Amino acid sequence: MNDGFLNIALPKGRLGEKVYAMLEEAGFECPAVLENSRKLIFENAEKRVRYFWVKPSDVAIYVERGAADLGVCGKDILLEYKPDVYELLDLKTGICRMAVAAPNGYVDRTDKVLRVATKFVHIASEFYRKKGRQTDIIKLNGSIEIAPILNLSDVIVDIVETGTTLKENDLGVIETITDISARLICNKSSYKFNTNAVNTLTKRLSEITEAKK
Amino acid sequence: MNKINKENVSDKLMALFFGCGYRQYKMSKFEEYGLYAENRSFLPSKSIITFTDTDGRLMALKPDVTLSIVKNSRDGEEYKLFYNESVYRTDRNTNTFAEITQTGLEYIGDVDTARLSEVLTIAELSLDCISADTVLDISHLGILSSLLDSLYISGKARKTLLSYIENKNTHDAVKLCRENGVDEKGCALLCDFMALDPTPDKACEILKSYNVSDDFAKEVADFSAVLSSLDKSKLRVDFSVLNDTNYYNGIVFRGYVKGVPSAVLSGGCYDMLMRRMGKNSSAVGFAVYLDRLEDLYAKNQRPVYDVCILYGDKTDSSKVSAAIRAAVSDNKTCTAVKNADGVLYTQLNDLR
Repeated sequence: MNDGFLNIALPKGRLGEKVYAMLEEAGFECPAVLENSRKLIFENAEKRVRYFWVKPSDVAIYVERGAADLGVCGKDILLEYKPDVYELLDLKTGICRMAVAAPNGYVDRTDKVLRVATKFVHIASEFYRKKGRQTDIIKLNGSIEIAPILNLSDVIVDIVETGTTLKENDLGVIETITDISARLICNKSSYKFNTNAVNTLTKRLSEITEAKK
Repeated sequence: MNKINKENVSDKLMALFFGCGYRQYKMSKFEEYGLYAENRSFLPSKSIITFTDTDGRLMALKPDVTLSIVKNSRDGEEYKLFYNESVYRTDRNTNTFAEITQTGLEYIGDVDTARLSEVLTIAELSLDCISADTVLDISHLGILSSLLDSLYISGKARKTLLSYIENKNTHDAVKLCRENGVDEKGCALLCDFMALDPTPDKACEILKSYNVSDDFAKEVADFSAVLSSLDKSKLRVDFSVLNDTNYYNGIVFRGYVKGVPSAVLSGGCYDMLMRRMGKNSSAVGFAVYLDRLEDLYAKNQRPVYDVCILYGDKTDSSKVSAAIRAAVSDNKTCTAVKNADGVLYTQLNDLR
């Protein structure tokens, strides 16, 4: 939409709401966003800003394909899908880590192929490829923790925030792959034609992020 | 009728290249697979369609044009060529093969400042053939390389740092530099560099003020000399424009069109590719990705016809035929329909 608005894709859920609060503080408010409705697109004509609520894992696609100029998504999505976008800012919220977890008391049998259950096939493959470890990557779409309990896999690679879900299922982190947090991303072409607006928004968000440190 | 379409842009580009003294290079659709196997990382898509020729040779449907042009060049000769060819690559999103029309221009010979200016000017004019709202981003791999040398970043860390620079990811770039022992002054320099003012004159002024190394100063002087000879209205300095340094060196550039989500033009100096292929000449060129313009055409809505010929069940078909002939002979676009709802036209010829 080339109408002079900055189109921003926000991830549905708690992270999106947190980030919207930051954008509001940065002066890019759009009160309709917080209304309890089924609408998914909201705009503030005065501020020339338009927000979309989209599935968190889809934010990068919206931005890469230019449907949104800017978006907010987790570093996990950027590492997994490697979208061709600018990663302008670490928003230092939605902090968690990508980790390998296994049942408590797990002993790594290096003489056999490691079975890894995960939603993040590329991150897991890349991690074990660097280690030179032969793996059988099993792609799952949810309830990853159940895989080692049912002997579907030896370990899992997943996002760990507090570790409570792991504990409740007698699992524990055995290795951290990388730290994760929410990132502000921008379509490369949109950046060229909205440089000042994007830089202003990024700078204000950066100041807010630094102030919250 | 709205004349903005892929074929129209392709014709304009070829006329532009021809008018600038470049000659068309026609080639076969096939090439020996070995050429691509040896230079796989030069290719934007790594998958190649192969087949065995009747004489047993493993052949490939061309995934790229530049490699064939370089292969057939001879040292000591000057080549000013352009092409408009189909290439076969995998689509990043669907992971299936697609036939893509690629138009581009290559200069092989002695690449001096004037030659670089010429090719960059043609690149700017190429973007003008597509839209009035365009940007040509320009970068210099020598400047970037000298800067990273001064930070003593090498090997795997350098590769990762380059990917951060490419994504304007300052936060992770600084973190990586600190982890690799770069002092705060070095980190601040890198941050400044990544957020450089894109205006060519200002960018050069700032780069000249950096006290990095003699190599850096020399590269900046060369870069500045090229920029000074160009129309700067659509030119922006952006060091996030990167190409594989195994093939490219010096100036690299990328063109964007408002409304198209990714770069539609990409090019640069590729002396390193020439050396890898045993050639001593220098080379510079660029390609225009016409397939990426589909988004732009989609936004140009439905076609508007000069004449809408409306006929009914009882209309004499010879009248329809005559109306089409009349419109075409008047150099007008037309469409013959039984129902004009939704058809955009400037003149209605109702034959009912």
